[in-house]
Amino acid sequence: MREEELSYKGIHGIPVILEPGNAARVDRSSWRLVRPVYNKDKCTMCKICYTYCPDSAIAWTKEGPVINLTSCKGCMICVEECPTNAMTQEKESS
Amino acid sequence: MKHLLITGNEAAAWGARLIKPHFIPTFPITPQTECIETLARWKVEGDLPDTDFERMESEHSVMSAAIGAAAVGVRVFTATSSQGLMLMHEVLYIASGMRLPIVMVNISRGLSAPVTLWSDHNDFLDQRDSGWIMFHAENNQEVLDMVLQGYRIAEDPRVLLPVMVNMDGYVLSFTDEPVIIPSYEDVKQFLPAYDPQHTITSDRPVTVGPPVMDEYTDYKAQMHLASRNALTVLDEVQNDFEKIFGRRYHTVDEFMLDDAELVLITQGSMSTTAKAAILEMREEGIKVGLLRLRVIRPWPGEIICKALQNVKAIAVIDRNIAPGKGGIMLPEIVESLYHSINRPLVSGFIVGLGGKPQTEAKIKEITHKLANDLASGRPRIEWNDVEVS
Amino acid sequence: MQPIKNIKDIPEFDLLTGGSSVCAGCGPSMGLKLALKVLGPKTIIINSAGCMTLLPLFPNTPLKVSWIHNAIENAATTAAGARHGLDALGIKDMNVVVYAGDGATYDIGFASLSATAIKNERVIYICYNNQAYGNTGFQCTTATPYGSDTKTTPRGKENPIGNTTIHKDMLKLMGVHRVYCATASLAYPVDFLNKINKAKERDGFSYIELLGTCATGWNFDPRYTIKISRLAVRCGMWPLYEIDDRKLSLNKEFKELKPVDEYLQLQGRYKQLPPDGVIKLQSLVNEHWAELNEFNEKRYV
Ligand SMILES: Cc1ncc(C[n+]2csc(CCOP(=O)(O)OP(=O)(O)O)c2C)c(N)n1
Ligand code: SF4
Ligand code: SF4
Ligand code: SF4
Ligand SMILES: [Mg+2]
Repeated sequence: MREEELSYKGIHGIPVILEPGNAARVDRSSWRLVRPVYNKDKCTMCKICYTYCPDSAIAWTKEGPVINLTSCKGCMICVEECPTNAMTQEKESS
Repeated sequence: MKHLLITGNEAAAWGARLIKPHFIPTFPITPQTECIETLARWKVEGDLPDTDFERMESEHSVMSAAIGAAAVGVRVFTATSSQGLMLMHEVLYIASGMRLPIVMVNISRGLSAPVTLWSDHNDFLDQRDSGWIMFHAENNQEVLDMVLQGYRIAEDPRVLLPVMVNMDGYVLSFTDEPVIIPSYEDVKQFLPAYDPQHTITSDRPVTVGPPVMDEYTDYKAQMHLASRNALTVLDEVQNDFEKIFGRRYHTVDEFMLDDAELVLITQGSMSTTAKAAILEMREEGIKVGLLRLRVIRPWPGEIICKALQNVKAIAVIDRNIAPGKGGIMLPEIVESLYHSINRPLVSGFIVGLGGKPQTEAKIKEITHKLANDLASGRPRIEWNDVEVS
Repeated sequence: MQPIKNIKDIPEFDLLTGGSSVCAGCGPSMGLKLALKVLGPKTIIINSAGCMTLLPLFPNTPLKVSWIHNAIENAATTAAGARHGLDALGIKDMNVVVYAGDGATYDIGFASLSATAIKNERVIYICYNNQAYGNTGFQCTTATPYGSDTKTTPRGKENPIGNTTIHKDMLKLMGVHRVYCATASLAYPVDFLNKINKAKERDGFSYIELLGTCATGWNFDPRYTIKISRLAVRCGMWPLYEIDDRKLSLNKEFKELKPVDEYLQLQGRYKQLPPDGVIKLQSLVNEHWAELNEFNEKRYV
């Protein structure tokens, strides 16, 4: 492109991100080899899995933890730390 | 408005005092010390009520704190010199890359090793690709005026780049000159209260300075355009400045160029000496003029080219050295003249490193050498002031 | 904010979303997620160049608070500048928080950290210590423990130990700045968050150092991030303590420490450490533990 054809974007040319938390939409599911599987029956609602998920892929609700498989990278910390085996692991199919 | 007999350091401090920055992070270095000491004294005496004067532990941290403060949306001023500017080098690029309108005065001094306290221009010319707008003052009045104008240009949404105002160490920094100090009211009219484009508040979280991938070129292109825009903004600012203060500067300072055959290209304080020498040479019938580079970045190549279109020979006087290459401004000038129809002969003169005084006699000698070069048709590269050869 | 009593008390909002490009199971990113629960939305994080710099990647950011990345060695002074800027604007209720790696803290940024601390700037400095230059591929810093294999202290014929430099006693160094200092571990989140809370309520500088358990660099399966963070505390490699106004308080006391070998065995970076190296490391741990016990609840620095 010729320099004359460049256009100046004003403050939009400043390198900042103005949409807080928009990375939540980024799909990291392809990073996983294994996925966590939640079994409500065994859950004591202790909040450990929620506390330790490094990628905020577990939301805490009245009904307990809800796994977001878009953000989950399959680190298995929740599975390892769940005191009652309410979180187990399952191989990803592909 | 009042008249004071003050040094360049004090003129810089006055510039800061008049625009009332929110934050001044500092670190001392000769020959800049008097500037920050003046501000520190004014602070305790109550003359800078709206300004936060802060001591940092290095120049790297001065610029880092400047960036932190400017990023949350306040006006920042600082001053440095030579080694200090070099230590800032890394963060200068970050200040401009984040498009923060910081204004800094650099009091030029040669770089170690060997150690010198005296002025040459290597310190700031080494920063010329950092994205900062770079001015170079000839005298103490211009130092003050450039600080005022610097904020207008830096903060203009078409620019949003930091501004560096350079002056020669000792020759200006420690020399008293008469300076007109404008009134606060006039300055307020010229530079309205800060309306930052960068703000961080809790209801508007921003991620500043994230890594990018393909967008890198786009951001650099934006910076480049912003810097080019500064040439237009500069003209508008001069109009306003003249209206309010009755003085006007031009992007390049032309002195007796109209009928000049020989032209000296200078920077900074030596230009005053050169102008005096030119007046004397004119009496002798030598058709010599001068072009002083005031704005180093953005590079006003077209203006320079136009100003020099009818001249026969040019001496680019470089008070700097890029070892293994030569004077730094010589190739910049030559590049700007390359496409002109009557390309003049261009000789390069390397002078005044480590503060060697440039006397009228030396300027005359350069002019005579240039006249000889024109007669013989052979340009030269000349080293003045070499003691041991 | 009241102190948190147990995990169930930990606030139920997240200001760091998923979708970032840091490793799966990354301890330092977990640390930031947790810290933000106490810090809340009125926070600016100042980040030094390191692994966490890649949390945002244009055009996406997992951060729901403000974030400034400047360079590697200047997070503390950038934070000081931001604090002065906020003061000038009359904004008093924002937390200015540094989140910086050990390389940025112990090494290249030590001068800027020290100056900011001694001036008691209202900044919370959290060092996530993954015990190496992680972002550049795991090279040795002055926080790297004795005996660790790193890319610049590889084990070999001439030197089977790996890193032979004993790491800086950073907490002690920060303690002499007369600021609030504390260590923390991801395995003790309540303790960690209460320390952040304490720092938040101070009207000055505080320094919190979180063991930045790093599966990638330490070479273990990320599922063990918490297990290893816990063992580090249990075996005395990472004691939990505070220094406040130069007085020491041990936060987790144990009658007996577990042998360090139990901790070392789980991590690739120590796998080949020869027995005399393990003995030396154990003696360093014992010496530090004895010192902490001796000065517990006494003037320490
Ligand atoms: C002046 C400078 N030198 C070197 C680097 C390269 N660099 C980027 S990140 C990094 C490692 C930082 O280590 P640490 O602070 O421990 O953070 P970590 O990467 O472990 O998260 C280095 C050396 C840099 N960015 N700037
Ligand atoms: S596997 Fe890891 S990333 Fe996925 S939900 Fe569990 S803790 Fe979170
Ligand atoms: S850790 Fe296990 S028991 Fe506790 S809340 Fe999570 S799933 Fe339920
Ligand atoms: S290398 Fe370690 S600290 Fe860095 S992103 Fe990966 S897990 Fe986190
Ligand atoms: Mg590290």
